[in-house]
Amino acid sequence: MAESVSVFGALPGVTGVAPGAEGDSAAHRLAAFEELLQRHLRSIYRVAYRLAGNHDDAEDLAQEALVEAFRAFDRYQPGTYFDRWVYRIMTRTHIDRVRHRGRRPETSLDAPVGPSGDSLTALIGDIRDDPQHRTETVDLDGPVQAALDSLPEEFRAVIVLADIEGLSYDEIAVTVGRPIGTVRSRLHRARDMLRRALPHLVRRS
Amino acid sequence: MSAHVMDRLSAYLDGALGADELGRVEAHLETCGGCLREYQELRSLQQLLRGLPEPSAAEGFGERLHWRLQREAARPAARSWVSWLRGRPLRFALACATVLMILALPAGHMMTRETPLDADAYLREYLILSVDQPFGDETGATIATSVPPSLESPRR
Repeated sequence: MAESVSVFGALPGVTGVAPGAEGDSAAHRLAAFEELLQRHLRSIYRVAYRLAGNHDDAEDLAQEALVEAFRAFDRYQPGTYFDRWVYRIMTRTHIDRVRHRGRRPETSLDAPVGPSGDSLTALIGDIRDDPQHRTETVDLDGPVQAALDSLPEEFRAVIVLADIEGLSYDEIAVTVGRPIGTVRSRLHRARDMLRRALPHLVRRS
Repeated sequence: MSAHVMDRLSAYLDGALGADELGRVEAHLETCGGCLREYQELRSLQQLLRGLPEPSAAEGFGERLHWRLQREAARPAARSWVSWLRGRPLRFALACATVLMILALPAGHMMTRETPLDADAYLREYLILSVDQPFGDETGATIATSVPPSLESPRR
């Protein structure tokens, strides 16, 4: 990844923007945006990939979120975490995209789970049987990503931000736009789902 | 044995428990093999996730992204009047002054009147005054001149 993403940094400056005061302003805006992006593109792509589950969707997601971030760049507060700001936009974009496709059930995400965890198993089992899902997991990078991909999107976002990106509960709450209590319980359930989905990888002899 | 603590293990793993709960979970883990095993699995899972390989973006991702952003930057901005005013104090002050002047025009005229105007008469006065002013437009003039004679000079 380092090679391909670093291409971004080697690109020439902004050249195609219309001349004149308006164009200069847009060029400066783009230059400032890309300067920040250069520093954070690797982690932004990583989150996009872990959310989307494959490279094609990850690239689409990252591009869509970054274009949206660029449009809203006036609202970014300099000095704050640019990557977290983009994560917030990207998480929302991803969930909207998936809901638009109608891939996931939107009910009972936070419903209580019995001690046996049967409903979790049923949920993951249903998603794995989905032919579309099987097609999308062809180029996943392993069983862990496949298990991540089997989680409902909001759960996956929480565990990716917590355990892959290392964000705190507070930061995740801001990123996904949910109260800390919801983040905490979703993280608990997401980890429980993954633990059950990957018994051979997490069980110690 | 104390009550199981499975629903606290995730927060325990993150160091997110208060002192009371922390003590209870730690005491329980010393005596309950089931909860301890689950905790170890959660910890193992977290290490697994943290150790995932860095995904490699497809060749040319950076370029494609750059050109898409550049295309976006080249688009004429869809500007609302709010964004037109934002960050430009002189424009903002001028806009406020214009709005105040327009609003104050009939109000100032009213203050010189002996009797107050009701809502209809206020609107009519305003339109007539607008026609008299250089700022008035044709629409205002049309409306003002089409005021029925019955409404002319009420209560005068």
